[in-house]
Amino acid sequence: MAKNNNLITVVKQLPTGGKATAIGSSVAAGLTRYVTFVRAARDVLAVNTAVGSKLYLCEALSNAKTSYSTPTLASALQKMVVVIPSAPTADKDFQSTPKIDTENPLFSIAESKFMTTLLVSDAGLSGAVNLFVQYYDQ
Amino acid sequence: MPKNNNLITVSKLIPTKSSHVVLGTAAVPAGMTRYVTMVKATQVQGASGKGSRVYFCSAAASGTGTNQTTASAIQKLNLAIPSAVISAAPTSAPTPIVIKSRQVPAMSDSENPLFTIAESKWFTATLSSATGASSPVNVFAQYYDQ
Repeated sequence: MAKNNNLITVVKQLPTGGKATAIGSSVAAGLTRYVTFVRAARDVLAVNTAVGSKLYLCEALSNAKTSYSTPTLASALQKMVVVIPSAPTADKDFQSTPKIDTENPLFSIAESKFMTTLLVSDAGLSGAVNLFVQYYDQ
Repeated sequence: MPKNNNLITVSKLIPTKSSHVVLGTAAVPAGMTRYVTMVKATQVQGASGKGSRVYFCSAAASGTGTNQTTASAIQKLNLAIPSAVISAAPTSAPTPIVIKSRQVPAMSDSENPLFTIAESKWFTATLSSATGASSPVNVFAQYYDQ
């Protein structure tokens, strides 16, 4: 795959469990979206952070939240799941790979589809998350 | 992308809350893009108990994004440093372990940037003004223009 230098990055704040949102617009016709890096950090500064997070990164037909707003729906569309442990001692900063490699993407989103995310509302896994995604369309 | 060996690193202190620093000496030159390959924020205080949040931004001017609200709107990435991380399950009196540094990505790779800053924009960093998130930090960034 030829290297694509037109990197796009998106930051999304997922403040509460149940938050579902699209990441970017739909993939243009004839193109594929290559996702190269995902970072999800628990958005908390307090000491007693005994709450984790679980979020789905999905390939959805539309950006209508009704298609990916529950864990059941989102898991059927999932391309990746991120779990941040609840233990206070756990590292709350998830990075998909220690090193970014734009020539070797993590996963792809097909043309006309949307990349979306859902933070679950399950007890202990619904802590606020700051999400960073890097991708390019080619 | 051919490897660019003209890597530039900048390290700056953000000493007070809701203040910002310019990373690099100038805006991105016309016809070029600034490829940021690594960012790091390290709290400078000795004692634990306070957190920090730093916004790395693409700003239209060197003075843009000087407060939390505007910086959040133009952010490319933000790093949050917790006030402390507890060393064990809090069954009794936990001992805080001070983890005061955040870095993305874990390994830098100049051929695979983290994010970009477009031509004519400024690369800046702003420290939050929020209570518990405004402890002074030293920021480090590695980038090149191409």
